[in-house]
Amino acid sequence: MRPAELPFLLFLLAFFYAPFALLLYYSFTDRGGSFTLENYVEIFLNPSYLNTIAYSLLISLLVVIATLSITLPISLYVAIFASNLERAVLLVAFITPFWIDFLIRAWAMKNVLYSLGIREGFLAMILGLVYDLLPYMFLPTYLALSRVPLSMISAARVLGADWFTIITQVLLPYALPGIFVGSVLVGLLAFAEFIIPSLLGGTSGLTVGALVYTLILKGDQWGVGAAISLLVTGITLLIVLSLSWRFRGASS
Amino acid sequence: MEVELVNIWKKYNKVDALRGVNLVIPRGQITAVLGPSGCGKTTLLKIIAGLVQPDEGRVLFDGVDYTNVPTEKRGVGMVFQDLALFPHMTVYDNVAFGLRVKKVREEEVRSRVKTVLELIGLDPSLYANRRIDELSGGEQQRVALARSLVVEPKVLLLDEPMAHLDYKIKQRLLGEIRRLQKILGITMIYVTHDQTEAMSMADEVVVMSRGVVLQHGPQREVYEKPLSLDVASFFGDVNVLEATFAGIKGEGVVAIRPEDIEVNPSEELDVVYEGTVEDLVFQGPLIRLDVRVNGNSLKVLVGRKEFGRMGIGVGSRIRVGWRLEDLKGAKGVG
Repeated sequence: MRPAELPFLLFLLAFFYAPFALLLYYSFTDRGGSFTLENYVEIFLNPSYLNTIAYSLLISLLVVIATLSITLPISLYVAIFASNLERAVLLVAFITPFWIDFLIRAWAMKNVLYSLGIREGFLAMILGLVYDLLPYMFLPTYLALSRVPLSMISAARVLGADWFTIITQVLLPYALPGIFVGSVLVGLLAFAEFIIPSLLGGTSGLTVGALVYTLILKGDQWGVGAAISLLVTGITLLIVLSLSWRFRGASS
Repeated sequence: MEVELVNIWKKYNKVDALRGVNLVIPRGQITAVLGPSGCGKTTLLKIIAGLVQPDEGRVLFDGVDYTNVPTEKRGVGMVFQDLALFPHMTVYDNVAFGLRVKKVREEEVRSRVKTVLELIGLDPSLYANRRIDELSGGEQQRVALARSLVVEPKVLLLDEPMAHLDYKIKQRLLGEIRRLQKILGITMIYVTHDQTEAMSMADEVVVMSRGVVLQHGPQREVYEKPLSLDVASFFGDVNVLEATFAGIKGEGVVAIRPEDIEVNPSEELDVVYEGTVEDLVFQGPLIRLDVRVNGNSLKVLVGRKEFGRMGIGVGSRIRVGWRLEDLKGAKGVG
């Protein structure tokens, strides 16, 4: 290790590995501090915990699908079809709202949804999550598509391909690594998010994030909360690994 | 197929890329479009392919107006400078792409891809399932050719496809493109800034500069009878000489090709000078002499064997001479 790397290592130790170790410690101890598997047993014995995890996975899947469907046409247009001026304007227009603080945007979203007659609930929560996570899908897909050489599109056209074929068989497969990165980012963030579900979700807002938040900060159940956090980390790790295995060919 | 361009004009950001190009490119031949970068040759190719619309003028294929026919319906083939292969597909899928978009039956696709891969010198059983990034530059070149040839285009357009290859592979591929062209009888238009490429493979040469065609004709004619000094120096090498013209008032420049200058001529020549050999450059089959004559430096090319018989070296006093008929630009200038 070079001396210059030491501060970064210390930073990681203090702010990432130490809390992680604490989580591990809490999940395997009881209130008295002695070793126990009780916390994990409780998760698997209490179906409402497992249901909440499954429910959050479903939400994150929905949000991934929704953000993908919204951003892909936009990314395609901005990266491939827009003129330079249009591209600059659209990029600024898309990014600027996200300079505003996340909480303020969430409250604003709440007001907008109210005025549209959408009250707290499942729909409001999904809309809030989709809106909030759009940039995480847009940026990677846009970047991937903007790297497509124009000559590749020309080559497909010369060979007789129409735009539908070019988009589905040339552009999207080429942008697959970007789509993958965007989906993982959005999926993970939607899975763990707890502010938007508690703000906009109403009675549908009990996601895994909200659950851990409640257990630790309100219920004083650090053990179970830690165990659920680790379980969720394990699940996401598993999903990411299996997806990157599946797409290993596309990411070069 | 014969390609005809009628009075083509094209501006990019108010700069003229093409200024009234008229050209008839004959069928069944290789025509090289030669010129420095920025002369408009690639734009010309894109206009033929329909990838760029001319501001003015018409594009005719065998006399039929194709100016407003979209690219995908023109039935041309094109090999791009960066090859533009699809990196996420195998060799087979790349080559099959043009057939599949035309909804050719998969059986026929298979046999045609196989045939064209064999024709291009890639064993289908070894290469069909390879990924593009596993291929060498020369192999990628072959795949790009196969992909554009498999659809049996009416004309094959090549946009400096050899720019990134090393000399030996380039020479071999150029030879093979010429061989293929003779087998298939397809019309080819080959854009390049490299005169050796144009010399290695073209039947016809079009020399372009600043958006206009300077000269178009059979390769040998353009080389031997260039219409201007620009053409003479784009296509081949020349010595530029200042000259006074007897009988006409004024001065001008003429050019003579290095291989048209004779060293220590035994016969009577129109012009003979004395000079000193300043440098010798061994160029393989030819030796280049830099000869100082009256304060000017002349490039002279002689054959290796001929040079051996001369018994001269750096510092030798020699005579150099040429025939007036070999001077280029003598007619046009004055």
